[in-house]
Amino acid sequence: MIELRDLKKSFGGRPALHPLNLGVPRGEIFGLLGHNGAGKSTAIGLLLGHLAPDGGGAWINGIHVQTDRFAAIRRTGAIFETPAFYPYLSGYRNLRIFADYSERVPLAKFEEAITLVGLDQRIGDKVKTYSHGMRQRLALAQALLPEPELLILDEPSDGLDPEGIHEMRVTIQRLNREKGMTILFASHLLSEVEQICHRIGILFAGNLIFCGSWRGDNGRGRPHRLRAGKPARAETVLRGRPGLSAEPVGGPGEWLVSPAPDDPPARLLADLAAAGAEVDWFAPEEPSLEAFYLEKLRDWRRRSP
Amino acid sequence: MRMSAGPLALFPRQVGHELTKLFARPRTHIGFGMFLLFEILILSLLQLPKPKASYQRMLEANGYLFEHYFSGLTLAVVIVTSAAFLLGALFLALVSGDIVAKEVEDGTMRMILNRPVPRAQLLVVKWLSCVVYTFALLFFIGGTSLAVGLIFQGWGGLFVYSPLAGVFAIYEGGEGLARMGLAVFWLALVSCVISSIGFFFSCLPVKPAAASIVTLAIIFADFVMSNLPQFADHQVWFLSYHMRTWVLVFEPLIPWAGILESLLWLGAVNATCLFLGILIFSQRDFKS
Repeated sequence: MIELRDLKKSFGGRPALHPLNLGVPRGEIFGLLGHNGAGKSTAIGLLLGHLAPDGGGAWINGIHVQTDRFAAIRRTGAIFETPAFYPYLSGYRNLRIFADYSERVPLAKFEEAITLVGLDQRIGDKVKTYSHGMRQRLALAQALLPEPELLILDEPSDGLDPEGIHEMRVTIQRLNREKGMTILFASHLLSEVEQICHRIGILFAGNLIFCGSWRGDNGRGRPHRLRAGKPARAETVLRGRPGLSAEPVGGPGEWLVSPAPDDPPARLLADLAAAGAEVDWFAPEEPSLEAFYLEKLRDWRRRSP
Repeated sequence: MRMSAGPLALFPRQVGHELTKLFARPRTHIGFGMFLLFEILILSLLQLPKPKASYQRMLEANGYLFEHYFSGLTLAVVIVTSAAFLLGALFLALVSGDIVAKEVEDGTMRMILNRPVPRAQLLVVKWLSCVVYTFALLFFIGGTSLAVGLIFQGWGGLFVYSPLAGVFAIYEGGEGLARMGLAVFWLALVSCVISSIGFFFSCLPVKPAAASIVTLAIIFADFVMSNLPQFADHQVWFLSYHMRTWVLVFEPLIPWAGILESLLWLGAVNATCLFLGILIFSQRDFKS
């Protein structure tokens, strides 16, 4: 659905995006992560044709954005950076204005999008009376009007309260599941990305430093969380095991253990059971996206001069 | 389900939306209200003994009856001239300077460009809305000036005196009204050049205020220079010279050839501003 090939961009001679190669298949929710100035907005701006690349190109659904922008983004909806509206006009009039610049959208489609984002009671009110969350929802309605196959969401949960964040997440997942929309999701809220996205790309200083599934990447040699009813017995087993590292976490009798590569976790578990440690929890620790993200940044900084 | 209407088929609706944006803004209404106040102020000043005596001297020295020609029509033309020159240029520069740059600054342009909108078409829509706005503003000034003039001074003949354009004319009420209508239309037509210049600067990567200020600076510098004796032989190169032609419709025999020549000249400036604006805007990167 999305293909970026050797896409690069500089501003005033300063590279904002080094040659970027990225592919997002149809039906995927792809998370784009990175700190401020990492190049996320530049990449999205290039994808939407707001910016002209210095080299390379972007394709949506096989259509080259830079040579046929009209066809390429025809079925693309976007919330790009902070949504802006005409505050002195109603929500409905704003939607109408944005839609009519590109194509005639039937009334039923407006109603569907407005209902989906839950603004049907307030759509006739002026936007200046809307809360931040309502503006975000209006922006989502605007993005849904072209019946998009691709939805580009840049910080869609920005400024929302916890309930709003939850609603936005559920809506995004529903759009992906029920309408098969491909979604490019850029956010600083790692917990949201963790819950929504199938795969992620991490940008750092204009470089794509990781692309893939953070879950799969940490599968091998992943630390295990151990909780034992008899901590002293468990500790004896752990101390006597060469190459094993055990870090106490949580309450007494709870460790994060990383066995040596040639020491299968199943053997350790068997030895703990044999020693009468009364193991009541032994499972691979699910890595948090935050830990994964920070680790990738540390790795990159270490390797880069 | 979806109707297959390309962006070009939606052109009239897009112009309509642009006009809605322009006319729904509170400051547009405030601006129009200011015009009305300004017109009443000028009218009140013209009722003072000195200006009144000056008109009386001029009319009676040429054998015309002051009571008949110092009418609502005569005052309306004076008000239109002053309001259009002093406030009209300012207002048109403000609106046209905002038309693109303000949307870029506010972020609504980014929202529009998230959709597959040809930038050239978007700008033509915006320029056209500037032109419609120019006509609406000048017709508002003309209409309200006439209304205010008639309320204060009543009906009568029309007397026009413009030393700059070399016009001294006298008409009876009916023809005077027709000439005034034609003059306001022509004034709107020539004023489009201010909107076009403002529009051009608005297409550049500058703040809206900068676009308006530069436009005003150009218009006033042009006016001042065109009135300097040193440039008397080069009048044809000044916008003010061509813009002044609207007063010529008050001449008994309207010099159409000269007026149309000026109109072509101003048309070329309008077209150049539109073309360059589109050219520059189409090449721009949009990034906050």
